[in-house]
This record gives sequence, structure tokens and C-alpha cells, in this order.
Amino acid sequence: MDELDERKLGKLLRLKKLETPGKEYFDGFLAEFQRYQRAEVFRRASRWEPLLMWFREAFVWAPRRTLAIGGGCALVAALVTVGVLGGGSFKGGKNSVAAKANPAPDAQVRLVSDAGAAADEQSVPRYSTGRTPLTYDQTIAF
Amino acid sequence: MTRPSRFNPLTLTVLLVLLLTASVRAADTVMDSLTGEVSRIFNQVAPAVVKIRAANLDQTLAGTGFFIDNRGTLLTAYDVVQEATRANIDYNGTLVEAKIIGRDIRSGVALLKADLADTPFIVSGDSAGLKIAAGLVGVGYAYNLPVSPSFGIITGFDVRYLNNFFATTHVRCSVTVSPGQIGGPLLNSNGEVVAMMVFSVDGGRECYGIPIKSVNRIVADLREHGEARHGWVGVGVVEANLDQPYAHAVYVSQIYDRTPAANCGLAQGDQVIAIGDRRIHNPQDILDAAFFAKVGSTVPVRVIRGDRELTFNLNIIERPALPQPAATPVPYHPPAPPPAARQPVQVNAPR
Repeated sequence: MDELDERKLGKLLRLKKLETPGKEYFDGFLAEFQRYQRAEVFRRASRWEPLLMWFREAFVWAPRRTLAIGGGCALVAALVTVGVLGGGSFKGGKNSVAAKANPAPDAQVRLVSDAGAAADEQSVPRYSTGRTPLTYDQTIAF
Repeated sequence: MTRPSRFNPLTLTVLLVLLLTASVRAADTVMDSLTGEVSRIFNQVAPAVVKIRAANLDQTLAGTGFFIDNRGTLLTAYDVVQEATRANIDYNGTLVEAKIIGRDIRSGVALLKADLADTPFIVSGDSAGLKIAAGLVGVGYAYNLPVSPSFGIITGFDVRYLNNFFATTHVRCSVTVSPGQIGGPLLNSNGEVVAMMVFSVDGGRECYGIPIKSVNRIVADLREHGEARHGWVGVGVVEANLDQPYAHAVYVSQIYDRTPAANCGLAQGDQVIAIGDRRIHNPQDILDAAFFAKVGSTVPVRVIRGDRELTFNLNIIERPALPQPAATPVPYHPPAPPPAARQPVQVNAPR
């Protein structure tokens, strides 16, 4: 009985593989698919759906990328916070006593720092261009 | 029967390749030679070129200068020291004070002396023999950078830039000049200084140099008198228009009051043909003759008036800072073509 049942069952399964739905099924499937498409078009999305989608993407689908970006932003934010809040007490701060005692150098920029320059060379000199006519006469006389 | 060609295509191709290769090799040789020459001159003179700082009022001026003897005597441009009372030079990395012996705003030359011995110096060359297209090497300190060379050619000899006249003929050259390099030497192929950079034009793409012969004339005055003494007889001149048949002539246009030329017999309209031994063809000749005339000497001035040639001996006095023209100068226009006959007449000016 068991052997017969197993043989019949195998035969039925083989036959099942060759079984295809009728034409009505395919016609109904197409109609059902188009109806679903229309329903999706007219369906109003939920207000929270984008947020849920973002969370799902960030923490479920690509958690490593999210952690990397988040860590970087946190580091930058920490540095900016330290720079802004701690600026007043730093030596180089704009409003510090040290900055007032040693005002910024002249606006003119030296092309190359000259470590060996003497004290009187601290200010930027006027490099001679020779572009100013001196006593060149506009008439000829001798 | 056709005659066979003497050169087949293969032979011609090989010859062409050889020719091109030879051309490229020749170009390499010229470039290498030029590089070697500039490098040699630069290395030869660079130790004698120094950076100069001068304190003028509340400003520090910076430029270049160079030794002209082994006792620490330096030349630079007036623009580098202007009216400064003291100056420093950077000599082998050490700041050394230099005394300003004298300066001349008219020629743009200044003479300094540092208390140094056995200084390297640059020998003077022959500036009178310079020719257009001759190569020149400029050496100077741009900004506070190390000393550097620049190369160019002589593009002209000018006595006028736009509407202004120089004191004497200047050498125009395509040597580029950066701020700070004014006062540096312009050198010939022997490494001799033939001019000094005094005036940059066109944004530093070209420069004017005062010939070393003219510099030496000023240096002699500065050494002797502490100031330059420019000659003056009190004659204003004008150049004939080039569209006239008798072009390139110079005519007396006005006589200045209280000068040797006043009441000596010179008159407006006289054509100046010689001052001393120098023939006058254009204003350049006039300015050069006046520049090299020594104060206290007498110079013969030859002119043509009508059909006669006249000579006036004029005493050279020191040029005033602001010459005063005659009270009623009459605008003068050059005359018609000259007469054929000329009768020399000697006229002596009152002393």
C-alpha cells in the first residue's frame, strides 16, 4: 500500500510539473496586475513613510555606511565646538590678551620668510621698481 | 630608354633624416651654449652684487647694488636710496652699514661706501661700443629672494620715454626686472658692467639702463664734490619735424635768462650743428653733449644762421634745479631747407 502510494504520488508530482493554468488564469492575472498598478498610483503615501524608509535604508540595509558618515560628522562637530567655545581662552584667539599685545603684522605679505633678517628688516620694505620718472625733462635744454 | 634617377627615395629619406637630426643637434648646441654663457657670467659677478636696504623717513627701501672696487664702493640707483640718510647692505649674509657718499636724482645714480676690504667687484666695460641686439645679463635681488640672473637683448638707445627726456642716452633692453632688482648691473658677454638698471617699463618686461660711461661721469662728480654737477649754458632747442625736407635738425628755440647763452649772440632759429667735437643731428646728441660737458669749462657751439656758420664759445655753469626760461619766449618753428653756402665766423661769448 505504501509502495503504491509512493509510486502514485511520484507520478502525480511529475504530472503536476507539466500542469499549466488555463487561459482564464492569465487573463485574470493581467487584469489584477493593472488594477494593482492603478491603486498604487492613486494611493496617498503615509506622512511617516519616507522617514521609515530612510531608517530602514540607514540601519537595516546599509548600517556600516551610516555609522561611518555619522562618526565623521560627529568628529567635525566636536572640533568646531571646541574651536568656537575655547577660542577666547586660546593664545591665538582674536580677543585674547596675547593677540592684543602682539597685533597682526602689516597687511602686506612677504614673499618668502627671511629667518636671518635683522631687526630693522621686520617691516616689509618698498622694493624699488624704478617705474617713477625722476627729473626727466619735457623739453630739451642744455 | 629612360635614364635612371641618381637618388632613389630611400637615399632621399635617409638624407632628410640626417639633416633633421643635425638641425636638432645644432639647436641643442646653441641653447646649451647660451645657458653656459649666462651661467658663467652670473657665477662670476654674483658675489659682487648685494642687497641694499635704506631707511627713508618712515619707509624702508630695498634694491640691488654692486661693488665697483675692492674697497667696498657700491653703485646703485637713486630710486633704491632716494633721500635716505643711512643704508645697509647684505654682504655674505651679514648686514653691513654703508655710507651714502652722494646721489643724483637727475641721472638716477647713487654712490655708497661700506667699510669693507677686499670686496669682489665688477669691472666696467665699454658702453660706447654697445649695439642693438647685443645680449645683456642682468643680475639682482627680486623681493627678498636670492640673487638671480635674467637675460635679454638691447632693443634700442633712447633719450626719450613717452614725453619725458632722460638726462642722457639710455640703453633699452628686454631684460626683465622684478621689484628689488633696480640698481643691479647689466653685463656684457665678458662679465663687465656696461649699464645699470634704473628704470623699468611695461610692467618690468623691459628696462632702461644708464650706460656705465655716463655713470662713471656722475661717480667722478660724487667722489669729488659729493653731488653731481650737470652742465648748463641756457639754450632750449627743438627738433625739426620729420616731414620737412631738412629733417633731423635741431634749432635754438629759446634762450634762458641769466645764463651764459643770454646776450652771447645766439638767437632763436639758429640751427645747432656741433657742440664741442660732437656733431648734432638730433636731440639725443644735444643731451649727450650737455651731459658730458664739465662745469667750469668752455665749449664751442657751432650754429648755422641764414647762409653763415657761426661759432659761440660758451662757459659751462652748473645747471640750476629749475631753469627759468626767458621772460617772453616766442614759440619757434623750424625754418625752410638750409642754404648752400656757409661762411665760418668766429664769435666769442662774453665771459
